[in-house]
Amino acid sequence: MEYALQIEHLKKTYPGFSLKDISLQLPKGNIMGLIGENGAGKSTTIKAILDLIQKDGGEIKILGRSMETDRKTLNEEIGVVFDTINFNETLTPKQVGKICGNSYRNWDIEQYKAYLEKFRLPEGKQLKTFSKGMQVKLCIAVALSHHAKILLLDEATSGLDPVMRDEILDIFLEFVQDEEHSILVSSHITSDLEKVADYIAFLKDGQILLSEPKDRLIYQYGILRCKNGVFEQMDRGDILAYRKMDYQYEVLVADKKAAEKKYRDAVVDTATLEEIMLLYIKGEFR
Amino acid sequence: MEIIISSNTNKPIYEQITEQIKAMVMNGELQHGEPIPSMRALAKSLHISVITVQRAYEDLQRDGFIETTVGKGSFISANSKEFYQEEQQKAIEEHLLQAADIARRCGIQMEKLIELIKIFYQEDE
Amino acid sequence: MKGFILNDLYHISNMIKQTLLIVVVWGFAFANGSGSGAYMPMFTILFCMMGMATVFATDEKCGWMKYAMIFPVSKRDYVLAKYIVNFIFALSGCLTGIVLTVLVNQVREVAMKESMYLRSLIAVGIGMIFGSVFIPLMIKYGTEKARIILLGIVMIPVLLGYFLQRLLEDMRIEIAVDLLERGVYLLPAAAILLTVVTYVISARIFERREF
Repeated sequence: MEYALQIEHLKKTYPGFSLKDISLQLPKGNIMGLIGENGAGKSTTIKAILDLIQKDGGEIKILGRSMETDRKTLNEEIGVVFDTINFNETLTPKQVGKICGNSYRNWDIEQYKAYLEKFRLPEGKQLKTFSKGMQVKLCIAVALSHHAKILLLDEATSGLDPVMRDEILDIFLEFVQDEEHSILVSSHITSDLEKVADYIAFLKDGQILLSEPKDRLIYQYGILRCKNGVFEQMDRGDILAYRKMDYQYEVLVADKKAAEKKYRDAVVDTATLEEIMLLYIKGEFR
Repeated sequence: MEIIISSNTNKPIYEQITEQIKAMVMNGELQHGEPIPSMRALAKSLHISVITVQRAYEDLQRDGFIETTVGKGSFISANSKEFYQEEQQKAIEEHLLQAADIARRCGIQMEKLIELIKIFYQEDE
Repeated sequence: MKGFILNDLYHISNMIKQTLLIVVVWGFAFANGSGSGAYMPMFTILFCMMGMATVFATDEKCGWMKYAMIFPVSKRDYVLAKYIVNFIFALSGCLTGIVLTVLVNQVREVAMKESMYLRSLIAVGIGMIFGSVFIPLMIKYGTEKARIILLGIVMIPVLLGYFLQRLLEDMRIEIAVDLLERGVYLLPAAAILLTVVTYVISARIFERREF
């Protein structure tokens, strides 16, 4: 089993929104970023993975097993961090530790304490005295202290300042030092993922628009900028997405070098994840 | 081993890594048989994705600069210096081929070409 | 699952001050009231109702249910933990009642009435019944609505009991008291039955729940 996570044709329908045929693979030892705007379906996908909601179709395998049959044992190996803290605010980190110690078979109290120290979280103070950043760090400490093999983070870093986000990226890379460990991060802060993600999947309106190794997106994809005339002449097959701006067209192309040679009248730049995301969200595409 | 990554240039990060490692081999900073950090450790130090470093190491292995054994890690291979020179020689040959081509086409003599090469080679001394 | 029980108990212990205050206030309020035996059922009902409402309300407020499902537990374990907590509340309520009864009896120099064991058992049973019925309501309808529904459900037997009592007062009182006493012995059994039945119902409702 070389995949940490396999999603095949996941479907889920709500009134007003649905996940349509989502398929994703995350190889072991890697970090995958799930990006998309709010409401695109990132949280819903993660909830489906964790069996917090019922699927209307499709199959999900985590570490080669499924939640339907292996829920208890699988959850021992899954660490989750949501965007808000779900512990009661009158609890202290020490009490949280006891709760987890009585829940997880492999709860590592030493590791937990080490993380509390590293994150400078006072053991005996109630969570309501913690800042948002500290609360998230506590959740991360919990997720990392029971020998989990896969981490799932749902917009966990959204409310944090750059320094904390950098610290957390460090932690991600530390986590995947072990090639049995994998991470799925959903976020709309693309700059973080640009640094450490191995794979990127982009979600819009409940659909996966692209799922690629990050390096291909950064180094092969490109943003082509040209005038109206040039745009009209372009091969439709080369256009992944486009946007009409005031004075030019912005086009996402899959092969920067080829586009540079083919369309001499246009300017082709490297694409950042954010630009790719914007083009897909605000622009037109096939 | 110190590697500096610039995110500003157009040069892909994996290329920056391979180039710097090759350069270190050439100037003796990295010796034959010397171990280099594991892919994952390097990714962590440089704060980049594992898959990028993987690509760099694959390229280095393909070009004969390093050898990676499962369980032991990665080491500078014995013939790395020679490989590098071979590689660079190929690049030189290509450039010289072009130069010779252009010279022939516009009637520049071979002696002139050799003179030019001498001048350029000695420029930095 | 032990972790969940701990979680609920921590919430309550963090609210120990409020709890003690309520105990003291109620204790005094009823010190002159009905016989000393009334403390135990009163406090078990109080603890079970308030306690279960509190733990569920806190769970709702901080989204604990969703997070709890991340733990290596089955959905039933969450429900089971709540029932165990309910039992713990019933026991604590009973204990508090006993302590107060003893205290008040000492102060007023009144002799101890009947068997404390039986009364304790009945009190725990009553508390558990209230809690057990409350739990599935809270799981299905949320704490706010459940409170209202429960109030309605509770009023019915209370009113019924009241009217029944009035009716019986006009008839043979001895029969009534005798029947009542017999009925009271059945209470623990009824409590256990109700607990099991409501647990199964709660577990089913919770299985289907989405977060």
